[in-house]
Amino acid sequence: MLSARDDLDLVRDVARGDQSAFAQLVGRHVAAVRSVALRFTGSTADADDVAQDVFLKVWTHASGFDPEKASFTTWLHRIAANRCFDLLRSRRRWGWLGLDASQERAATHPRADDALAERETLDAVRADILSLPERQRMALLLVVTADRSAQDVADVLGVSRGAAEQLIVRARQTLRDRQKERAAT
Amino acid sequence: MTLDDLEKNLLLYGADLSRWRAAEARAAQRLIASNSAAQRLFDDIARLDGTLKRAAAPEATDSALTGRILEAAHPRLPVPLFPPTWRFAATGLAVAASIAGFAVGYFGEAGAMPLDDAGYMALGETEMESGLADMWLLL
Repeated sequence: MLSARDDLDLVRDVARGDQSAFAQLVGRHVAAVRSVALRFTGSTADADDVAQDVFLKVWTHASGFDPEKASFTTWLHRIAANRCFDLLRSRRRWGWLGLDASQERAATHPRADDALAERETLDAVRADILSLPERQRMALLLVVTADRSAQDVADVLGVSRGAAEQLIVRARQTLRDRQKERAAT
Repeated sequence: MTLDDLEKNLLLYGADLSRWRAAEARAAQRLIASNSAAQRLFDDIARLDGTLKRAAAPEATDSALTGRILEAAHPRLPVPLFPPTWRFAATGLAVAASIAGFAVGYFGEAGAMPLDDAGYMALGETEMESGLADMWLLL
């Protein structure tokens, strides 16, 4: 059955220019890629751009994918992580913060309405995630949002498993400390 | 398992013990059941995990983004101004108009043949006669 084809089959067909296989890969993975990018950049517009760039790279570079080196998902998230890091680097170079990102950060201010308490909690945690150092942030999002293992994080970021574990532990520790601070105030 | 081990594993793998190695998960369960500090630690991380899951869970992607990606990967050919049937009809009309124009031009030219000498003579006579008549009037 076509829908049961695994990623490896699909990416091989994509390398041969099969548009239908490409559409299936996009449908299968776009939500995870975009969600990681969204929580990493804090901007829906940037997340959409990253997702588009990532899958265009899959379309044009599928023949360069080597299943001996990594799974398709690891390869995909490596492209996405690099695109996210590049985006922030270029933003820093030009000293520019997207309007979209600033709007989403502005929305994290506490509001008096109790009905919005849950929304405020989630906004506060998202702001905490955005404030993490880049590699910690990416490591945590790969675990929480993309459901990847510590070894996958190591493969995506090109670091040792020990280093990846450190990134995850530090990220969670920081968020836990912020949660405690909020609970105390 | 010590409290420090438990904390490190909770921060690394989260509070879902099914994601831990089996032996470590069993040791953690024993410690949590017997130690109130371990229980508090576990509750802390479980609360954080719950919030994190809600705050950073994958979001459904609308079809517009998928469409945008597919469009960018294989851009469509330029959309024709008229559908093929219209284009055939327009070509047929142009050919028919060309043939009709040629026919009218060719046969119309043949019907309006230049006047022969006799014709010019006849015309000249008529004009001359008319001129003479005018002169008689002047006289």
